[in-house]
Amino acid sequence: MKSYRQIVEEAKTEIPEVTVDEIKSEQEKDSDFVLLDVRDEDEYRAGYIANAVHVTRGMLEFSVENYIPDRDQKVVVYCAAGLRSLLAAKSLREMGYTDTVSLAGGYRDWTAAGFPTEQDKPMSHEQLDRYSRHFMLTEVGEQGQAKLLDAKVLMVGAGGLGSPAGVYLGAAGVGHMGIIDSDVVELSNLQRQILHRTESVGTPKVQSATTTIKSLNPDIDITPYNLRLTADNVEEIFSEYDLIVDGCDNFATRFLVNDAAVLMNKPIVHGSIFQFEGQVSLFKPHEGPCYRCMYPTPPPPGLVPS
Amino acid sequence: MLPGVIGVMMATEAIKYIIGIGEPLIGRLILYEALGMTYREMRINRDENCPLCGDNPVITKLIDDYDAAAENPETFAPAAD
Ligand SMILES: [Zn+2]
Ligand SMILES: [Zn+2]
Repeated sequence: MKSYRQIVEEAKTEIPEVTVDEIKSEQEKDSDFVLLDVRDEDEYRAGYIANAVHVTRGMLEFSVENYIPDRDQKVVVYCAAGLRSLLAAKSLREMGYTDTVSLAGGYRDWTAAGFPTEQDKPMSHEQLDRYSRHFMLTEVGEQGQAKLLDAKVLMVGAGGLGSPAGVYLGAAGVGHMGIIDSDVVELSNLQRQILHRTESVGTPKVQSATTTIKSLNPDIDITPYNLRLTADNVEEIFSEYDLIVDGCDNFATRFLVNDAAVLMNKPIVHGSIFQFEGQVSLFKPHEGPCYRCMYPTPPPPGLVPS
Repeated sequence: MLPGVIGVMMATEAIKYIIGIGEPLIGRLILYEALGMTYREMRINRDENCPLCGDNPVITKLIDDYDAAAENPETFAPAAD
């Protein structure tokens, strides 16, 4: 049986160590290497070396390939003081990474030398708790959650499609949402439009949608637009958002959304349903088709899905 | 129930796009049919003759009245210059 000290000593014979001064000057020379931070989430959250890739020691073997696919890439591993990074660098060698080194003294020596660090926008305790299941998915993590909280998404329609989309986007923590709809809630909507409640019948859908999403997640900032999207207002509204989620229920609006999004270079998440069939796609202007690539003009009136 | 399935797929695509993970549905159309409970994927390509995003677009600004155009689809695209 090996003691912890023996394991570290063994690793030291295999893994070269570099000092923080060496790495700082390599950075300044723009040398080609990846900094890999293997500390735990709470350590990383308190600050990290700029541009470091973060994979906790515990998740290293499972997900490092997603971040560093090239096994011949030079990898400088660091932790708090330089021990976990030695063991992590050794595991990487076993995985076939050919050029891994460990930062002696780790983050402790880096900050003691007065070198610069970065910190993500801190999340509140409530946010850390609320989104904790996202953090367990390495593809999402705290960095992904920060992107969601910064995102600006416009939902066109708070009806059948906008309801589930809005509920999930709000629950997931999409930080800024606009919701456009000019309808009021009707009793016949409630069989499928889960953003609305019986007591909201007769009130504007955007108001009812805002209340529901806010009660699910007060973190979200919502701009309600109780109006019909037209050629006159679309550009001003779209300019505030990065992504359009189109769950509208009529061709006039769908073509308007598509035309404006292509002209303004905004991606659209498209969804529509007709009777028992539904379709979904993502229209990214010029990287793929737009709605008009499939349907240059709408079908004659009377064939209108919803 | 169908709008629930489609709306949640839309939310999933939005979240993937924002975070930048997975394979986005660009150039792919998902068709879901509830009665048969079938799920199909169709390749869809950009049409170089698309009046809007094609190589020589004829729609270079919004048309004036989309509601009126929807009543009379032939007017939905402005005449080529
Ligand atoms: Zn992390
Ligand atoms: Zn097109």
